Amino acid sequence: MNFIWDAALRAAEQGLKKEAMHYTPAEKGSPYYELAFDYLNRRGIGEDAVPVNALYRFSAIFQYLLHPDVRYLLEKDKEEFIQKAFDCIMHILCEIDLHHGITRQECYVRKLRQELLDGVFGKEAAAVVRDLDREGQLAVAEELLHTMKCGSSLQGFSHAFRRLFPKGILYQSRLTPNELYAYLDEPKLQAREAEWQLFCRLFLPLDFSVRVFWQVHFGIIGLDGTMKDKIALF
Amino acid sequence: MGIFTDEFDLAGYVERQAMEIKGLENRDLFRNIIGDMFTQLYQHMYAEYHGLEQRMLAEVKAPAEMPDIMTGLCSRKDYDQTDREFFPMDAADLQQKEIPAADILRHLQAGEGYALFPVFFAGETNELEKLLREKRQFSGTVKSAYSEVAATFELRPCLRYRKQVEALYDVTGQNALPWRSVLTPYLYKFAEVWITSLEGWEDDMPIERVMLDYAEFADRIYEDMVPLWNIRPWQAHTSCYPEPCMDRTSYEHRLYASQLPAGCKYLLAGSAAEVRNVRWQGGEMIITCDRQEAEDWEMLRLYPVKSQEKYGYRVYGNQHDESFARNLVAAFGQRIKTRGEIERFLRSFACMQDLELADMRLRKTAGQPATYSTDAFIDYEFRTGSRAYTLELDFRAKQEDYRNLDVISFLTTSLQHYFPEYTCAGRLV
Repeated sequence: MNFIWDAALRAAEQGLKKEAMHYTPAEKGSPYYELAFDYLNRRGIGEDAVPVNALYRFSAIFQYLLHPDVRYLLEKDKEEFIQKAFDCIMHILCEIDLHHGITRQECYVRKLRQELLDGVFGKEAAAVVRDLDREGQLAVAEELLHTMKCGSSLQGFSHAFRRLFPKGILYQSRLTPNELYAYLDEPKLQAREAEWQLFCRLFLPLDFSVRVFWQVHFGIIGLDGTMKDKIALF
Repeated sequence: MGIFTDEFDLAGYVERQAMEIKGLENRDLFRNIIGDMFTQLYQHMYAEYHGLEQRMLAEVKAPAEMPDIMTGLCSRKDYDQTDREFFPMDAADLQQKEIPAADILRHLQAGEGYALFPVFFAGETNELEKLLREKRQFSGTVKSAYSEVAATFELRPCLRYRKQVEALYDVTGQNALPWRSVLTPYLYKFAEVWITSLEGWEDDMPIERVMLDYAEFADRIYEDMVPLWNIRPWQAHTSCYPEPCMDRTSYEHRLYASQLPAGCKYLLAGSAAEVRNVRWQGGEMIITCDRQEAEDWEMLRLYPVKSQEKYGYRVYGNQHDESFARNLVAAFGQRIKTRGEIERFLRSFACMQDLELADMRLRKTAGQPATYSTDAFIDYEFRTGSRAYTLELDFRAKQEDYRNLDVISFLTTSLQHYFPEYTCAGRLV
């Protein structure tokens, strides 16, 4: 972790709301780091305010407010104000940081996510997408955008498959190339089953068929690993 | 809802933080500087982000297309002349037509029938087509002031309204707009009543009334019905001197917005001039053509329709949503052969609201589809050759209705334009 956006993203991962985060001017900051935690390798955000060396990137903004002469002599009685003002301005700067990567791609993806949730792609799709976490929703929208850009194809399907079912393996039949076999390597839970159905609905080209295997792999002659313990037969 | 969904609530945060400041002077300063000034600054910043978002999304423009065409139906006596949504497709339908006895007799003597009036069949289109194929004879009577004689009648196809829809196809071309299938369920349910025999009538007796016995169809065949649409003829005149174009042979005729009142859409309906292009600029219509002098222009004025139902009949039209996904798919121009995309495409039409897409499949062989093509007059454009696969779509209707299959026919025809390599066929399940 180095920058304030780093800390904000980490906090979001931990489930902390932005409102629950506070920033404070670092007492002893390193000139090489923006965040001034006691430990360089710190990975999580705690309840305490995050110490920030604001002069690292924002010296033009803070050089007066944080100048020791101002803080401890001239405006000594305004320390409470300086602390809180610093915190609020850091929040604003962090929001600017978090918008740093606005691109058309991001804008389209977010809009598609919104339309997925609004039921433009059907009520069933909306219900499944609603149950995904935010990252999952954005991943589906991004793959959808990819399909719109490039058209539907097996390539696009397997790309989305790797993204949304990372543990899975996708096989293509040599005899009939339009037949696919998907081994997902996870228990068949109701929610996951619904996600699989949505995934096929959104990404599987019409002229392909896919047979899905959840936890038990099917045996492949010549591959010893697949021919032991429980195997699926078809 | 914008795309920036997890916006930090600075105003709320400032309010909560202010109460944690113990020194009252500091708290006051904090409220004044951060609460007022910085919150405003922050809101301004977010307004700019939202503006950027709107501009980025607006870059993906909806393609230019034909205005929505809406159709309805009413009984002749019910039509309100001040209606500003629907107009009779044929204004003559509003008048009671005189039946010329002499003409009828001449035709009957020559061994031909004579077309009397159109009737509306409130049943499935397939059933009406079967009835027309069978050439079923209906008995009835023809009345004069003094007498009443027996006659026989036959139902034959009534194509004149559908021809009017077909004529729109040429209008789209003239206005340089791509064709959009039109949903007109009522027009497929009109038949023409022909008189085929009339015994013992004398020339000079004017016909007062024709009465038919429609037998088992008596409760579903209605006379004096008028098909309606949201189109009305409109005239405009070139507003100023035509300006010569760069090619030195064409002129631009400008029609000021005052001639084309806002709220409606306008199409150039046809002209003797050689029209090269029609375009719109700031509410003005500019027609590029070969005429040097100011011209009168025949136009079509298309009214917006808000009603779902009118004169006791449901309103049907080809209007669709304005989703971003729709514009994006059109902008990238790639074909997406997935169930999700087909569902999105079908759901984008307003007429899909009473239907659900239950299932779909590709089949190698398929029988006669339950649906018909609503663009039969240009079938040769996109139903060329033979296709290996049929894309079968199963729809489930939320409630039974004799117009459901017509709606499904429209949806499958629209999809057919999208997937020319498959034969698209729909059915109700």
